[in-house]
Amino acid sequence: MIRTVSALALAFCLWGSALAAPAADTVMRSANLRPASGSPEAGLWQASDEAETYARQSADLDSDPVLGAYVRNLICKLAPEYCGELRILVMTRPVLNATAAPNGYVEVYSGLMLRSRTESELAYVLGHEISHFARNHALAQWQRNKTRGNVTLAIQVGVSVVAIAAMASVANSGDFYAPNKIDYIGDAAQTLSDLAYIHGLATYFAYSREDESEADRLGQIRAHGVGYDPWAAPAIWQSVGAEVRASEYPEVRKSLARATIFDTHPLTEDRIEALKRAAGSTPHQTAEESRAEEQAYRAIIRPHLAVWLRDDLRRRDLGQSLHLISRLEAVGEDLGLLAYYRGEAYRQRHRDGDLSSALAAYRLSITHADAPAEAWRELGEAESRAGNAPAAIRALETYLTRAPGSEDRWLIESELETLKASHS
Amino acid sequence: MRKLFTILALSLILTGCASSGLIPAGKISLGEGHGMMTQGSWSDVTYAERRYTRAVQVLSRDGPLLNQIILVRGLDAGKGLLRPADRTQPVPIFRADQTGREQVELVVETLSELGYRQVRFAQLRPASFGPDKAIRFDLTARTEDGLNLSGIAQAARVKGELYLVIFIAPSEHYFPTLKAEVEAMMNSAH
Ligand SMILES: [Zn+2]
Repeated sequence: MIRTVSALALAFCLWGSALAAPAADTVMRSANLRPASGSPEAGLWQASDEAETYARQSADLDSDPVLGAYVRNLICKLAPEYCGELRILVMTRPVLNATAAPNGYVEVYSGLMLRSRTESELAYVLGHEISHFARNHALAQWQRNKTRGNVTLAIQVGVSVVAIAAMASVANSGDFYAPNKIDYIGDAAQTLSDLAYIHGLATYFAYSREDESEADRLGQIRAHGVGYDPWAAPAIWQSVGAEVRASEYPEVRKSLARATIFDTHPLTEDRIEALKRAAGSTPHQTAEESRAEEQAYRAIIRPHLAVWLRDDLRRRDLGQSLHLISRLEAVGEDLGLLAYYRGEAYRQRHRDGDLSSALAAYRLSITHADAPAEAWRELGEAESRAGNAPAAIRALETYLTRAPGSEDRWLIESELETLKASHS
Repeated sequence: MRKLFTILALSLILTGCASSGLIPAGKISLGEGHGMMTQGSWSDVTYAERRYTRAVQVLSRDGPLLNQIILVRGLDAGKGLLRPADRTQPVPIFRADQTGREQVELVVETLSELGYRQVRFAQLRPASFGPDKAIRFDLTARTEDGLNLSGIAQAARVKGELYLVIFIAPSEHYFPTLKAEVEAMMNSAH
């Protein structure tokens, strides 16, 4: 057992929020906690160190210092007591997730930042992860697994502690490459079918229902304590649930767990209700306050919006992507860019009726000042497919004017020649 | 599973049950009526990725992590280079009405689906595939654990079927070493 935990519960009393403070016996981990080497817990820290090394060399690591500093400041605002020891990595991955490993390394996914409507929503999810960290939930889960003999099972199939750590980071990622990566990292699936194996991992690393509820509650208190809207907490879980329910695929709609944070943080309706009850007496933001917060947050993520949306389309789940784009459009900004990606989502799915939906989206996109040059190119291709050669020629020529150095210039020029030849 | 499959495939090759793993220099088939000349010998490493569909053959000189050429030998419309893992995870698909740029996009999306990160194309340029038109382009990407990769690829659509030659290797040493040889192979493709 960890004996070096110290009570930080007093600090919560100073927050003076409408939300109830954590019970006085809710003990938070001490700063810079590191079990003595050789102790049973040390293995978990060592595994986290290995997972961190793995994450630091990942191609998914975001290198934008502005974004990194923004997330760091937000986390330090939420958890000043751990600010010095938390090492934050922003990962470009199109799923909603964040993790805080026992050794203090934190992964924040672009998919979370893209789905947060406001800083309050982002702050709540980060507060939730920090609460798992502060309450040593990973350690508790690890110890529970040991009692259940799951570690023995893991060792029997040849998984080292290091591989467990790497797989934990992959399994937690909800990444669509996870099956391959787990296969690659572990080489442990030899005796098990992939599906049973991955399911086993999710079970192995999922937090208990009690720990989830506690992280919800403490995360909400933490975020509200430094001024964030407590209604953001139920709101982001609700909207992520709604996005999953908008999926193309019945299997995904039925299983909220698939490829989201809920793989390891199981979401239930009662968690959302509990967060609403806890926000209870706190007044909702006014429309103006809400709008101002949305716009301020959009300004932060705007430089990354195009890349994150393109990554999102790689999930090839039009229902979910369109739901997400609609949510982003509700802020009333970036409408040209968002309409372009709406068109891209339809173009890539390419079912009956999708061509005309894509065409409508590209036509709308170019009416906005922020339309990317590619919107004219795709409008041109869509007009050409719809048999509107003059409109296609106009759009493709506009693309070449707006993107003079584009890599595909030669190809578009040759397409224009063909179009003009067949039209004249 | 993959390791098991690899071992299985390797043992088949070693015992001579499967088609030969070694491809000597000379003419290799790119599907019915199509081919390409190779200068050196290559190994068939298609088995290293179990999701490849029938039209795909993968060659390597020093192992798939060090250099590989993905050949697509007449892909039918409606098919992809990869088989979907399940119904909820569709893969990039070749369509008969795809523009040249969409063929390039198919290569980028398929490499992304294979787990390569930040796959980008550059320098689209005209090329030929026998009497037919082709598009050649450069590629850059990174492996999941951050290794920089470079590549060249060529796409051609002939009678509604897609023919691809995709070369990818670590930017350091391996790509420059084989670049000219692979370009000569592409030039000979018909
Ligand atoms: Zn959680």
